[in-house]
Amino acid sequence: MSVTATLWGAVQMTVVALVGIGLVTYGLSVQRDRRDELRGDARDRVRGELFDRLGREEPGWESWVGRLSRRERRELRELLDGLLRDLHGRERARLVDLGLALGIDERARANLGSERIHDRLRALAWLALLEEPVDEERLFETCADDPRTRAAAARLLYVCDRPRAGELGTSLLIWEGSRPLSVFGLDTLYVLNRAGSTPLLYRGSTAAGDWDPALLVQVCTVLRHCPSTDAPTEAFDWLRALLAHESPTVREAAIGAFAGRGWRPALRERIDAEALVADPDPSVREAAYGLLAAWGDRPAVELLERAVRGEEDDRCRLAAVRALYGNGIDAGDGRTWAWVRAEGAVG
Amino acid sequence: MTGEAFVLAVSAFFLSYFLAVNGGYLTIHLVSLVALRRDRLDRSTGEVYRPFSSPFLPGIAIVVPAYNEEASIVPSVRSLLNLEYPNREIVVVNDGSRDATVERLLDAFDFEAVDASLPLDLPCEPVDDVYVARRGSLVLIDKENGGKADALNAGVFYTDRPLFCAIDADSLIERGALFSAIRPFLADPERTVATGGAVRVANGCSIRRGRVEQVSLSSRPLAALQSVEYLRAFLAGRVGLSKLRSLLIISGAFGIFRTDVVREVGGYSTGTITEDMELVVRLHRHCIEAGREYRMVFLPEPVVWTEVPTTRGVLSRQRRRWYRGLLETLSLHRDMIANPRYGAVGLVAMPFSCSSRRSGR
Repeated sequence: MSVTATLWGAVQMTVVALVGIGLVTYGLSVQRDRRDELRGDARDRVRGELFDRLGREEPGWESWVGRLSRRERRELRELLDGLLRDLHGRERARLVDLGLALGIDERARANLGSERIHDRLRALAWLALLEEPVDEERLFETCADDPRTRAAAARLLYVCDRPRAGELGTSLLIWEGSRPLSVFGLDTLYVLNRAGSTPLLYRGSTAAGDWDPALLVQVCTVLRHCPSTDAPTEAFDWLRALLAHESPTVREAAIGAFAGRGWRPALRERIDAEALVADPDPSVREAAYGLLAAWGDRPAVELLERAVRGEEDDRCRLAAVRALYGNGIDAGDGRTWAWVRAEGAVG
Repeated sequence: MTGEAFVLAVSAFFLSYFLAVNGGYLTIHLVSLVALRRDRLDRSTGEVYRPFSSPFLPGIAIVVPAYNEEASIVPSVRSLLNLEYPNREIVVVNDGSRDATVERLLDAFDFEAVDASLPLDLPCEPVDDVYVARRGSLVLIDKENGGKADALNAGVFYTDRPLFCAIDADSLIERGALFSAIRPFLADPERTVATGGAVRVANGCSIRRGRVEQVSLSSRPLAALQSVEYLRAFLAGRVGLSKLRSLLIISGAFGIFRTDVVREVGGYSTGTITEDMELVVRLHRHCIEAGREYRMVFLPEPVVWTEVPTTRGVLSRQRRRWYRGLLETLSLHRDMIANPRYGAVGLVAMPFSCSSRRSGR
């Protein structure tokens, strides 16, 4: 066969393949458009009926759900998912009853044993939306193998307000401490620890040495917003050790974790603030100025004033002067002070 | 060599070339397919929480370079003020506009000039004035003309937010896009240095009060073709390249960067045509040479809408500019090409860009 004939054959095959792919694409588009149209119609029907029944004294979910087609039940589940995330109070309680009438809780419990991770994640999300508790032993048995299921299980413990939710949920989230948390995991760690007692603080005292630096940053960020009012000063020792961590990002985050604890003199005295304002990394020094400004007591302000005089980095100096100005000190010269005063005048 | 042997050799060369280039595209598309499927599955699980009630969303400065934007700047800023993200500052940088851009902004928002000289040395053309709005975390930097990169540098070096988002003044950001785009920074705070989001074509869409209400194709054939091209480039191209750690560009129309890392590399280059691509390549170089573990992530979800050219002349100028920018960036960083020191970027992304002349926003 000649070269020309071979090339011509290749061109013909390419054209046939392109036309074939085009036809399949077009066919799929038409089919999916039709499916979307049917789904839209079903959604409109169930939405109207749903809101009508939601306003009645007796919604009669069981009888209504029994009459729905498979497609309508599917659309109803999707609508319910969105509404349960947005609504509170009486309407939400009624929608939870609708979820139970649809049998979502039973299916979710059954799916907890699924080998497919996304089935288990969806099951945990539904159980959290319906606030349906699951036995802790079962949760650890079915959800411990993946960080995503552990985070979802921890959330379920929190929304169902289970006893020891903080402690168990924190254990699930941190696990071996070898990798950082997802955004959802981070938020869950925060809500589990934002009450007075902080299981995270105690967990850190025994395990922080093994944690990944990225996780340490996340933990410090969470602790910054957790009051931990009833924790003894010694419980913060591991966090204090992070102020000398080799990673400047960890040092900066650890400083942030102490910013809201200036009311505890015993804790303040244990922190070497002089060393923090002398840190070689500008971002750490900037965080240290923020810490001193948040504490706002006389020694902190005096240290800030000394630090400003020796600060060579323009950006850090600006942060320090803003910190001083915010604490009512207005006694400096130079363009940084002039700028901060002018900023203050604008308000 | 006989005539037939010559034709055969030339054909074999071109066949090999196209097999290599299309094999590359096929690999990228297959990786994208897997990544998008996984992303869709992940999102379908519907995590139960309220992201905006989290107290630790990092602060973002949205830097908007504006040059002769008197017609669109006020609606653009209003649209940015409506973004769903609690901890953000909008920094509009007027790049020496010759029209009434500054006057429009001063009339529309409650600005007041800061009556002092800035205590930071911004690496840009001289700053005439800085205005701060009394409400809404809004700043206006009025500086002399220096080009888009120069204006971006003014905002990047001015802000004290840990992240910044670079956008075009005429782009429209989806309300929830900022939150989606910062997720990698929260999930991996040590390593993530930049994230990019998908850009979609706004021509033909119904837009009301700064929001896209109905998505549809433009009736102009050139714009409609670009809609398909953008979908392919972002959903099939960038997603795959990101997974292969070979992302060479984060669109200037929407990208979020760690402010300190961009400052470390000196900000945007004012001497290049496509400053967005050059910055990303320089960030790769900087992080690899510093031995730093880093991630640049492309997310299919965040969406920014932009108007594309509808005439052949304007489109041609735009594409010529992009290709010149690509070649310029590759030339500037030519020592990275096929250099194993630079990992996937040097061995895969840059040679592939050279051979396929792939570009795009």
